[in-house]
Amino acid sequence: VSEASLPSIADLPAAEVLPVERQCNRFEAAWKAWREGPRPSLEEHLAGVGEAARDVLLCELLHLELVYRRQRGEIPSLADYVSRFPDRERLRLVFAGPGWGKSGLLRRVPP
Amino acid sequence: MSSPGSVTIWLGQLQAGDPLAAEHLWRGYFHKLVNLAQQRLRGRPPAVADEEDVALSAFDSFCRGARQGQFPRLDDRHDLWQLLVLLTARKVCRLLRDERRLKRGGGAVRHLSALADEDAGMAEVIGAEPTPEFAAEVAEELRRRLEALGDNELRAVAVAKMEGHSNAAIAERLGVTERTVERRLGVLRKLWSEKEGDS
Repeated sequence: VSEASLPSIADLPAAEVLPVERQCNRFEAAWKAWREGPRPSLEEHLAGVGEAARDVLLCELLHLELVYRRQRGEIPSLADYVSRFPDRERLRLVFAGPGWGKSGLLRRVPP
Repeated sequence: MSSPGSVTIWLGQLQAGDPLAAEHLWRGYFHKLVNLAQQRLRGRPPAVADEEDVALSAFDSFCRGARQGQFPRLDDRHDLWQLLVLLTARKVCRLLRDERRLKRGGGAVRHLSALADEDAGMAEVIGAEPTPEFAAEVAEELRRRLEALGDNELRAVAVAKMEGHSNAAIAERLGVTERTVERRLGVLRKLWSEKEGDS
């Protein structure tokens, strides 16, 4: 399992890069501000980019969500996502990918 | 560096599995390049735009960092300095080629031989030692690219990375995840590479 298998921002045409970046920034800002009530929505932040960029954006947003959930003491599981995003293998790659850094990200592949 | 060294030699040594030799060449070349660029920037008229201040600040603090042993590593896939040096060299190469073609009275047709000459041209432009002129081009290219970003968050990551800070340190300073820093570096590399032909 390699993170290189995940779609990357480097694979996008230049015109798609900044919209993805902006959505990621909005999503991260929303998570940083969130205290209670409805959480920032992955689905809502997936809107506003072209079809080609959606896979990349989903991976980036999911990475961010896992960081912030983990920082709040949660243990995210694949089951939280498979009913919403059918590409189970891609979800597993995001969960299992290296490069998690020191920000409190999960390293293990969830059951 | 002594003897014929160049970016192509660093990269060749890296590919040949001799990262230490390549690192040594890069380090020597890079220190000279940054010092020359800094001297050239200092010789400019007072800055008229914030973006120029940002470029000056990047050079100032990077030079301080370089003296303290911080310098970009060749094996850092996100290093922006290597990209900047290569982009500048390609640009200078194109300008020289176009000048020569005009002098010869050549047309717009680009021959295959011109493509084959590009590697040799790169070695010629970059040279064994950075010249003040090339360093000035690199500094100017950095200033232009920071200015063109038009996004303070991307600019902050670019400057911090070029100052030699780690991704973790940049993330902490900006209050974002390391993943965000990595993503922004990917965005910068993408934008700078794609805009190479435009600038």
